[in-house]
Amino acid sequence: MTPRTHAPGPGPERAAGLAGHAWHLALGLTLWFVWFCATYGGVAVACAVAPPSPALGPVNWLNATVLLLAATCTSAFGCAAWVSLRAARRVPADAAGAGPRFIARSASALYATAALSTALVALPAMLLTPCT
Amino acid sequence: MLDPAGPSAQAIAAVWWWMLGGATLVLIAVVCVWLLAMWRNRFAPTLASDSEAARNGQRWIVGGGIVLPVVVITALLVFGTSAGQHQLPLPPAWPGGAGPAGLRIDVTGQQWWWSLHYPGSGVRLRNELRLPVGRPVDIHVGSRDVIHSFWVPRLGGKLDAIPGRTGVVRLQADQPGTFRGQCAEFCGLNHAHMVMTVIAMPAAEFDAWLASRSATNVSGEEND
Amino acid sequence: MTEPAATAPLRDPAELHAEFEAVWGNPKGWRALSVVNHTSVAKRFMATGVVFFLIAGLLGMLLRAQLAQPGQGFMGAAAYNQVFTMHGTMMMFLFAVPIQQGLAAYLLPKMLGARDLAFPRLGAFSYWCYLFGGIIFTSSLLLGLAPDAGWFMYTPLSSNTYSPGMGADFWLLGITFIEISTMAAAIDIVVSILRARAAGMGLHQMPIFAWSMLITSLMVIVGFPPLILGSILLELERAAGWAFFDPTRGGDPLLWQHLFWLFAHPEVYIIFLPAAGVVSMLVPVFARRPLVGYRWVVVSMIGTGFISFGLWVHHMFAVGIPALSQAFFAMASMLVAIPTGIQLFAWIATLWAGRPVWSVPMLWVCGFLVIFVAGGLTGVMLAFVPFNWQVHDTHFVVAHFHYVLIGGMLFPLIGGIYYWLPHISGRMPSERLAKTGFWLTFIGFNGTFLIMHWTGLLGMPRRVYTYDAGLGWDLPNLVSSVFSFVMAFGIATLLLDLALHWRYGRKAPLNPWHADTLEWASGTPPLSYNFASLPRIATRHPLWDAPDLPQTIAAGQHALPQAAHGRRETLGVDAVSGRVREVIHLPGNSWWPLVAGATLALLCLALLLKMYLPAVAVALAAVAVLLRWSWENGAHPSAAAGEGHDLPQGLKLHSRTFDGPGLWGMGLTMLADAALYASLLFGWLYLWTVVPGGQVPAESPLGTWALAAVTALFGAGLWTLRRAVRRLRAGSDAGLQTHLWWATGLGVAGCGGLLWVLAHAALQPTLRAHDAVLNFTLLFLLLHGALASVLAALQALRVHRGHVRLSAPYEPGVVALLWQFCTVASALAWALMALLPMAFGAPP
Repeated sequence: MTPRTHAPGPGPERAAGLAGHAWHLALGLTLWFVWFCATYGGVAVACAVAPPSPALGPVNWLNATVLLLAATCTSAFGCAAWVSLRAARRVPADAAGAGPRFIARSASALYATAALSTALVALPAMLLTPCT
Repeated sequence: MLDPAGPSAQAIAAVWWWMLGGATLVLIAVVCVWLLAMWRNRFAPTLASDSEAARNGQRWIVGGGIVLPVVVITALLVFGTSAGQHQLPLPPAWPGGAGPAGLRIDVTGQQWWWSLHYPGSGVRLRNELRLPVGRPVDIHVGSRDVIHSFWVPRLGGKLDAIPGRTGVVRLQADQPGTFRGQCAEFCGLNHAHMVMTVIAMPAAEFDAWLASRSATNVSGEEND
Repeated sequence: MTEPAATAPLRDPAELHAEFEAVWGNPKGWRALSVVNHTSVAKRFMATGVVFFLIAGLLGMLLRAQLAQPGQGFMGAAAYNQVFTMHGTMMMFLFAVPIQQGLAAYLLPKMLGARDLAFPRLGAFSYWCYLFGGIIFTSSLLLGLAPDAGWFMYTPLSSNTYSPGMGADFWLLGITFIEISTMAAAIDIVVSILRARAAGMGLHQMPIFAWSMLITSLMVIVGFPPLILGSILLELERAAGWAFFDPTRGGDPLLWQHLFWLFAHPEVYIIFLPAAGVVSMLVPVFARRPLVGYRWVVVSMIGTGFISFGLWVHHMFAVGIPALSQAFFAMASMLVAIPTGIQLFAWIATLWAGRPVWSVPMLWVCGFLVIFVAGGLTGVMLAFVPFNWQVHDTHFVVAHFHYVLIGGMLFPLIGGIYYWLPHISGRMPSERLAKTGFWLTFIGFNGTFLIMHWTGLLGMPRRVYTYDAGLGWDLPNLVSSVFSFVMAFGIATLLLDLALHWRYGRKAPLNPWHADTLEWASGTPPLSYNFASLPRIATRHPLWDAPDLPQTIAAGQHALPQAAHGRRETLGVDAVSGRVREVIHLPGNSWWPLVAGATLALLCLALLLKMYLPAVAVALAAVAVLLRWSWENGAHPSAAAGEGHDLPQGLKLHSRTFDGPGLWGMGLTMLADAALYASLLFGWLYLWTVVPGGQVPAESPLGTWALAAVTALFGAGLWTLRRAVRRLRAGSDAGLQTHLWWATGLGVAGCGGLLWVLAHAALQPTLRAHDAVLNFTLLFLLLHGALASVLAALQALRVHRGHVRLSAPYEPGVVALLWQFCTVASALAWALMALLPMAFGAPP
């Protein structure tokens, strides 16, 4: 009888919009994992196929690519965290809104975690020579 | 590794002592805070309100759960990272390179002994490694059968010997003496007995030994 | 919408109880083997887990006895190698995960206000696989054929050449069998948590233990498949000579390490997180106030779960991977300390703001604190790469992981067992014996393992059956061995306490700890049906906010207060909000789980004994048993009595709707499958690009278009199935059978295409790792395509028999998920294994 729907229902969920959907709890860090594998795997493949000259140290096209990708993802995650937080603030602060607010705020924290994790994990690319 | 005889082991041992100190402090502090939390309110007449508890809780959580680990980890990374550079075999011109390229020694692990070869002079040894004091050597590590691990704790960290690959670790002894090397990756029945003697000789003595050894070209027993 | 009106007639609790017992009661005698009720199955899981713990613990004692003195002859190298391999493997696979799944199976429906888990027969099946697999695996010890290559079974040591004999096969086959149990239980738990809760209980109101089991079980679903794949590949290498890990044939021993650690690092968090969930349940009760920072704790656990998948190479820091790549893992390994720290300080904050009382469970929680934090700190040290290069593979690591595993899992588990013991048995344990047991264990543990850090720093490697005298290792080893006996006495004292309390413990009151969560309302010991009526829950602390809940539940004042219709049922809710959607009907006692488990055990034995032709026959029998079991589902009369017309207004039985547990279960199974397939594709790309000397031919032996055709065929079958479901939703079941037969035909054609590719590709899997991977992929796709076709055909037959129809439209959508997987998997194989290599031409 209850309609099977993925769109948010009426009331507090609508206030949060698409950003309040529970999938966001998993999306941020899942994408972080994809980024992580792409970075680690990409560096491994690049080192096997076309390693930059070690004399360049950490200033080379590979590290630059890693850092650029990391910066992009960090910003994206940061934006997602911000959007989720705003969505949480839009939900009315009553008992019915407790659930959607919880989801949106938790999603925000998880996107922030993804942003921080991306930035910190990529940090060594500023200092270390690849492929050696 | 707590009695270092080379720059790599020395640097790592230093980091260890700092880490031990820091960890002990953190452990004692956390346990004290926990026990204090268990005891202080036992007979309290009134409890903190929910909002007060939430605010205090936020301080505990952010301070202890985020700030503390971040500070500790940052300190570890900032002060400790250089410790790893000593045994990476980087040529001197490269950033991070620790010095001139070392004498090359090929070490091959097999069940259950170490075969050593000095390619420059053709010398072969069995379960024995000789190196000059004060000069780095580049150990090229490989395996003929299963995975072993080459490790001389007083000189530096280990490197796995993996069939199909060769890895390079740079070691240096800063004092003469006899050290112990032991296989550090489980490799079967006699893994516990796969030991190597490492002899660090003063540089001139080493050169003499190498020269005389290569002249007679005595090879170690090949059967095991 | 789900509750009977407040004016519903009050029922006599005794009468209500009898009505429910008639439907839910457990038979005695040999018929008890057919029981599927979660309480019974969970108790079996926990008891069996304790037995394996004791066996593995005894093995640990043997190790310490041997190492007490240098040069001892107590055990020779061969025996020692078997003993340490079995000690580690049994603790990790036969104790740590199953016992916590057992605790979860016992507690979760009660905590969540449900009558049972979502898949009772699957739970029972999971137990039988665990029991039979565990017996087969452990018997290898008695036969002197135990695996002896270490619990992580590195190749080439574990390959045929260096480990001839059955030991490694016992590990690969036995552990894979047990992993089936773990995966099944995990799927059961996830679906139960998400869809079978009390009305109105949103995700944000679940007990923290439910969150921890949800996260852990999802980690199991995604994290175990890489190991399952690796085990299958290694067993193929051993049994059929296929090259995967052999560097002389284009393979790589490191591929095994990557696959293994991809699983094994998350595994340690799979072991830790449930225990952390237990601590989060105990601390608020004994602090006598709600948990401070509920959302922080939930977010931290989710964060830990995900980040733990990015740490695996920190077990491989000594392998020679370039510094920058290692640094990524070092950073992530240090990062993961933060969410754990957050949970820790949330507990401290709760105690700080509360009025804590001491009790036996809290004693164990405090022990956990000291030991686990110490272990976590040495973990951060190990994440620091240069230090790791020194202590990797030494007793320092052995000390570290015993600190985090025993401190982080065993201590909270024992605390939890003491906490819930009055619930399970209805009696209280002895305070004095319990405290003695705690102190002996705590002192014994620290005496054994604290000094072991030092032993490792002195240079003693792991896994050595003896050592030379005079290295300074003698005294530390002796101290460790002596204290290990103290710890053993501690465990023995606990066992004594447990055994005696069953007879002599005083009767427990209804809620002895004045706890807040719902499980304490299901009876101590619990009723077979948990709750006579299902309350609406709108708070995190049901028993603190409504202390009379146990009475109103027993009087039938809430939802679904009858069982006279003969059905076992519980409420099905929306995963996030807890709004009621349907009524889930649950199967009663059944012999199928036992028969299926026994058939699989037979298959395991046949493969072990290398009787491959009989194994094929047994495998087919196993498939037949599983399919016959699946026949008694949905609208089949034995699955649910009646059509559910007696349900409250607006509610239907789940199999008369388009959604239900099976849909979610199939979805999660496909997730596991996807994780396995992703690992396979990773292996393909790895062997192709990174392995030194990898051999890849310039032209793909698979041909350019063959796999595209297969994808198209599976895709067409998928489309046909989806069309059938769309028409059902629109209200028509005309032509349903036709659609299903068409899908079957398309699937069979797809399989035919795969067979054609196999025949024409002229692959040589025993000569080249590249060919072995391709061959394996084709067989993988073939297996899935065949299964999809068989299931579609079965659906057609069920339509013919009337079990699937317009008023029971549930199942085709479930089967469609498998077809989706087949289509995507074929497409990926085409793209990555046929097209991509040709785009790159000859190898570098």
